[in-house]
Amino acid sequence: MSTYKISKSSLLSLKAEINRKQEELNKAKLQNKIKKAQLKKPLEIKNKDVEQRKAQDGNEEDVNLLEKSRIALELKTKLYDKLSKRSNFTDEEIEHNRRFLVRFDKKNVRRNDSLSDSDNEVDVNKYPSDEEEHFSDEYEPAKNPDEEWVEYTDCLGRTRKCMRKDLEFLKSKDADLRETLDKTENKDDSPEKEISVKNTENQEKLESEFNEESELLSNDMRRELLRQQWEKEEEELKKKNDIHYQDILFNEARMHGVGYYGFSKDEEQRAKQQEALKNLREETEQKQKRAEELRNLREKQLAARAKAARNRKRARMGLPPEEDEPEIVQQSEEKPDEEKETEKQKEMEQKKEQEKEAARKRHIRPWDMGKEGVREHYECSQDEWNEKKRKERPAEFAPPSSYHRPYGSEPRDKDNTLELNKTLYFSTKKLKKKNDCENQNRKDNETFFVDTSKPPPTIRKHHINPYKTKETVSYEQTSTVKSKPIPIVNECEDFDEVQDRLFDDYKTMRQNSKSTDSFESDSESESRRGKGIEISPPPTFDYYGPSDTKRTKCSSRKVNLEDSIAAGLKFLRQQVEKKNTSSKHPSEMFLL
Amino acid sequence: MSSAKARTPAFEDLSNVEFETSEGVEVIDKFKNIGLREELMRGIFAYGFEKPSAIQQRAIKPIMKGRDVIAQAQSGTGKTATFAISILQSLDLTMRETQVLCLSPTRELAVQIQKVILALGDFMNVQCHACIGGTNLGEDIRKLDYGQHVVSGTPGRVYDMIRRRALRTRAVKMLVLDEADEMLNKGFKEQIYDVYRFLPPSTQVVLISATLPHEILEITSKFMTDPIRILVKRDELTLEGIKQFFVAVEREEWKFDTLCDLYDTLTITQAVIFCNTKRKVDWLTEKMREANFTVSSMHGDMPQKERDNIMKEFRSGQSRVLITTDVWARGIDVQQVSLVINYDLPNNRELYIHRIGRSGRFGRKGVAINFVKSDDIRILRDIEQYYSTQIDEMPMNVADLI
Repeated sequence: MSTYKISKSSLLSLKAEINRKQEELNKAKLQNKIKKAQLKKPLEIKNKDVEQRKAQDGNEEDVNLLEKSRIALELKTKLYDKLSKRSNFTDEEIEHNRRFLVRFDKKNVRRNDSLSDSDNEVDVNKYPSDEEEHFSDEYEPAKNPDEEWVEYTDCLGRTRKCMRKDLEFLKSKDADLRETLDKTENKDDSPEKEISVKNTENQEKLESEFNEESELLSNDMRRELLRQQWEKEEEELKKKNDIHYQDILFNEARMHGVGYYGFSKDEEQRAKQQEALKNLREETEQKQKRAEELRNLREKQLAARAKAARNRKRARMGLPPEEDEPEIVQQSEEKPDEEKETEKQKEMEQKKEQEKEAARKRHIRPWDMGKEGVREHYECSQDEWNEKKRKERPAEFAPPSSYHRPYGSEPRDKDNTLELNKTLYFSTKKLKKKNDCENQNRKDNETFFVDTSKPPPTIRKHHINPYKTKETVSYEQTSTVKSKPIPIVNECEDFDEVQDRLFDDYKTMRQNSKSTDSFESDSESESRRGKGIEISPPPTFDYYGPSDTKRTKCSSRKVNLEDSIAAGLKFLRQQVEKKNTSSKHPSEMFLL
Repeated sequence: MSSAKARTPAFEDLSNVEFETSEGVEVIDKFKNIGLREELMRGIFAYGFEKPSAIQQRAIKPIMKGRDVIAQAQSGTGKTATFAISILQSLDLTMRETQVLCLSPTRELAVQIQKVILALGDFMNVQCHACIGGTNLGEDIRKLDYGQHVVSGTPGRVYDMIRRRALRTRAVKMLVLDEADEMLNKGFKEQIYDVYRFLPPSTQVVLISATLPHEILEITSKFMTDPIRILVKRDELTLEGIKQFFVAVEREEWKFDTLCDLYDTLTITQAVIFCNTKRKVDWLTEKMREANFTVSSMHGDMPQKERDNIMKEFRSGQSRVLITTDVWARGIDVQQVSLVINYDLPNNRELYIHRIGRSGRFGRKGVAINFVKSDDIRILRDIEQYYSTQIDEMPMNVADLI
C-alpha cells in the first residue's frame, strides 16, 4: 500500500531514534524532578506567615479535592493495570468487569495485533449506552419535577448529571461500585494493602464532608442529601430513649461558647466522655489546690525567714525578739452592735417575708377553685360582698342627689349640692359610674371626685380590646363566680339612713383599700389614699353622728343585708348546680 | 385581719391599676452568684452565655425561689434561657416525672425551647420532650411514658396527653407560659385554662413575653399569687441594635419589584419576609421562584414534616430567605437572621415588635424594612409613636447596616 520502500536499516535507525528520544524524555523527567526539589530550597526562605496566609487563602476544600482526585486516579490506574494485565478471568469476574465500560480484554487483544480492529465492537450494545443522554448538556425544560436535571457526585468524586427520576437508580449503582471498589482494595494482597485501606477510609470520610459542603454540589442536591440525613437521624432518635442536645442539633449553624463539648450521640460513649471530662476537671482542681497550698507555704516560709532576719537584727541591737502581731480586738468589739442591728433588720425582713409567704399560701386563685383540696367557690367577706353588690347597682336607680343634702340645710341650692358632692361623695359604684361619664368633660376638675383608694379612673369597662371576642367574655363569665343583681330594696329611706350608709361605705373603703394592697405596707396604702380632698368623719361621729335612728332602723337594714346574702348564696348554689351538670366540671374532668 | 388582707377579691377590678416592676427585685450580675448547680453553669457557658442579660440578672432568682413571676424583656435578650435556667435549677433529676410544663403558641417554638433546655442541661443529662401537634401520637405517649423531666409543648397536644393520662401532672410544680400574651389571648386562653385545671393547686406560674399588654396583666390574678413583675416600659421595648426603615410604594404590585431589588441584600446573611396570610406567602414564593430567586417558605397549612424540614434547612443555613406568616413571628431564634421584611404590616402593635425581633439576636445587629402603601403610613406612624422609636425611609446603603 505504501508508496515508499522501507528498508531494514531505516527501520532500525528509526527505532534507535525513538529509543534515544525516550531516554531523553526520561532523563528530562528525572531532571525536572530534581530541579523542582532544588528549586524548593531557595524558596523555603519565605516571608513570615506566608504559609499561614496561604492556608487561609487556598481553603482546605481545594486541598482536599486535589488529594481526593489524586487518590481516585491512583485507584483507577491500579484497577486498569490489573484488568489489562490479567486475561484469565472467571465468568463472574467477566460479568463484573462489564461495569467498567472499557473492554480491557479487547484492548489487550487490540494491542496485541494492532491492525485488526474489525470486530471489537461486538457487544457494546449489550451495555446500556443511554448514559450518554445523561451527560448531554442540552435538555429541554422539565415537564414535571421528575424530569428535572440534578447534579450528583459519585463515589469517585465526579460530578454527574441525571434526571431526578433516575437519581435513585444511579445512586444505588454508585453504591455498588463503591462496594466493589472497596472489596477489590481489600482483596489486594500487596504490601500496600494497609495504606490503601486507609486511603479508602480517608476517602469515605472526605466524601461525607464533600457531600454536604462541596461547592460542586447543586443546591437541590445538597438539600436532598441533608433531608435524607435528617430523616435517618430522626429514625435513630425514635429508637433512643434518652435524647440529648446533640441528637436534635440537625446541623444547626449556631455559635456555641468556648466550653461547648459536642458529646457523642452514642449513650455509652457519651457517658465515657462525660466521665473523662469530669476526671480532667477534678485533676485540674486538685492541681490548682496544690499550687495554692504551695504558694501559701512559700509565703509563710518567706514571712518566717523575714521575721527571723528582723529578730537577728534586733538581737544585734540588744532588743528582745519581736512579738507576734496583736490581733485586732477593737474591731471585734465594735462589730456586735452593727451585727446586732443588721441581724435585727434581717430578722424583721425574714418575719415579714414569712408572713407574706403564709399569706401567699392562704391565697386561693380563682382558677384553682374546685380542684382537689380547694374549696368550690370563692367565699367573700362581708365587705367584699357589699362592695360587689354595690357595684352592680344600676346608676339610674341611685337616690336623687337631693337626698345627699345634710340634715337641716336649705333645700336644693345648686351651689350647695356641688359643695356637698365635693365633701361627701365617697366612692361607691353607682357614683363612680356617673362620674365616669362625666369625667370626660371635667378632666381638669380633678378635685371634684374623691376616690380614696385608687388612682383616678379611666374608662376601661367598654374599652375596645383587640383580642377579646364574645367567646372569651362568655367564657370568663363561666369561669368566675358571677351573680345577677338582686332586686333593690328600698334604699330611698330618709336622710339619716343615707348618711349612715355613707359612713359604712367609708369604712368598707378603708378596709378594701387595705385588702387590695394586702401585700404592701399600710403606710403605702395610707399615702396612696390621700390623692384628692379627703375629709375624715369627725371623731364623735359614732356617737353624735346621724345615727340616732340607727339602732331603731338597724333591724330593717339587717333584714336587707340578710336578704341580699340569701339571694347571693342561692345564686351561687344555682351556679354550682349548673356547673355540676355541665361537662366542664372539674371533678368530672379528672374522671375523663 | 391578716386573713382578710391576704386574699384578693375575685372580682377585683384591675383595669385601673397601673402595673409596674415589683420593688426590691434583686439584680445579680454574675452567673456564679446566682447559686446555680455546677453542671448547669457548665451548660450555660457551653451554650455561649458569659454574663447574664438584664432579664436573666433579675428573673432567674425569683423563679428559682418558687415565686410566681411575670417577666418582660426586649426580643432576643435571653428570655427563653432565663426560664430554661430556672427550670433546670429547680428540677429533681432523680425523679423521672414531669416536673415542669412549658407551653408555647407554635410547634416550632416548643421544639426550640426543648432544644435550649437540652443544651443548657447537657451536662445534667436532663430529659425534655417536645409534645406538639402534627407528630405521631404513639411516639408521644411512649416518650412520655418513659419519663421526662420537662415537657415543652403546644396547649392542644399537651391537653390531649393529659387527658389520655400519658402526661401525669401530679408532680408538676411549675407552669411556664412563653409568649404569655399570646397564650392568654382569645384563641389560647381557654386551652390554657383546660390545662391549668389539671395541675396541682398553687402551681408556680411563670409568664414570659416581650409584650405584655395591660389586659393580659389584668387576668394574671386569676391564676397567679402575688407575682413578681419585671416589666419594660413600651418606649424601651425596641432595641437600639435593630434599625427600622420603610419603603413607600404606591401600589401593592410594586412591593414585589422592591423585594426583587433587595434580594442581594437579603442573602448577605439570612432574612425573613413576613406576609399576613398563608395564601400570600404561597403567592409570593411562587412569584419569587418564577423570577429565579431562591426562597423557602413556611406556614401553618403545611404538613408538619415539611415545616420541620424547612426549619432545619433555615437553621443550618441551607436556605437564606424565608417567606412566612406570623407563625414565625414569635420567639424563633436563628442567630444569622439579620434582616426582617414586613411585606405586609402586622395586624397589631405587639406583632410588630415580635416580627422585627427575629433579627438582632442577643446583641447582634439587625435591620427591619417595612413595605408600606400610602395608606399604611398612618399605621406605621402609630407604631413609631407607640413605642417611641424611629422608622426612617430606607437609605441606599442599607446593605452596609447588616
